Amino acid sequence: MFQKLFKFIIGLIFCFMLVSPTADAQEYGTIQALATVVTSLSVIGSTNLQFGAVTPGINKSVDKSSVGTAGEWTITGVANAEVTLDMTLPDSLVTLDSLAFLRISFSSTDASYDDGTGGGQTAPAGVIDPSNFSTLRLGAGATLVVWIGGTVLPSISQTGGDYSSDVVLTVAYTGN
Amino acid sequence: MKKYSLVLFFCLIFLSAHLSAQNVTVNNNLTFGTVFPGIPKTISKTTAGLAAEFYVSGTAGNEVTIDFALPTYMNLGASNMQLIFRETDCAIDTSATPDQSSPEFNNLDPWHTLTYRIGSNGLYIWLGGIIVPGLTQTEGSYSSNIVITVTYTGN
Repeated sequence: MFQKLFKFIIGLIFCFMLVSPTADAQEYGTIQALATVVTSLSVIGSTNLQFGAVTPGINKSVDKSSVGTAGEWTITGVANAEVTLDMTLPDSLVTLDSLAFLRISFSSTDASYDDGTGGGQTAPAGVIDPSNFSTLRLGAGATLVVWIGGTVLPSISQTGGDYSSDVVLTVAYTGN
Repeated sequence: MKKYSLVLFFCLIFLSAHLSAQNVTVNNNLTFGTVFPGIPKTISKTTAGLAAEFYVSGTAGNEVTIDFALPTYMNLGASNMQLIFRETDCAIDTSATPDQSSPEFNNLDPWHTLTYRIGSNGLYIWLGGIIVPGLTQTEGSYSSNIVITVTYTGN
């Protein structure tokens, strides 16, 4: 009787040992984090804002619709994505030696854009204020073209020479 | 002896049933969808269908520990994109009526071991996160694995 009981207990212990490795069982689950990054924005200044020859004492304007002389940027990215446009405008053009300044001004209607729904530079989709932040959408073709005009105001005693300054357009996705 | 063998047999049956304590099911990936370069994107743990969701089944009342192996980047070939998990990005619900939008245990830290008991309707785990794409992030589909380990404590 005791021998049988002993065998049973040994058998039970053996069974426990056999099963116990699963007593602290671990279960694993793996998921994935997934994201699709869209195309980065590209902004290319395709045409400079060119005033050409300027006479001292006589203001000169270049209209945003003037092909070849108005400033032009081409923005490419994701079709229909919302972007913000922020222009950094100079208040003067400067000679190479930085000794002479030529004042420049921009009106609230001196910039325009076309997202493909307008007729290009001469009949753009809309007008924007270059001094203020704008929120627009790239067109269905994933591009947006922006033009800018302006006026230089040379003084009567304006120093002769070549003047220039940067006009910077900063474009960013809003995520919308 | 037959009696003992019968007892032994039922012991084994009981043990094997008792010791298969939990099972982990993956219900949902952590899905960020479309991401714009330079624009961080957050997926909340309470957003159904986008937050990661795990389901742990098992015997109600069993205590389990939950550990995450969290990546810090998502990958696309040689390109990486930062992936952030905050100390409040996890939630758990062990109630009879689990609710992702208002979980029983909210704002849990996925970076540390979590210990909970399986409820009558199992145990649901949700995980959110943030990705931070660079301004010139290479376009394409990024992914990384998030591994969860659920361990039966025996308590």
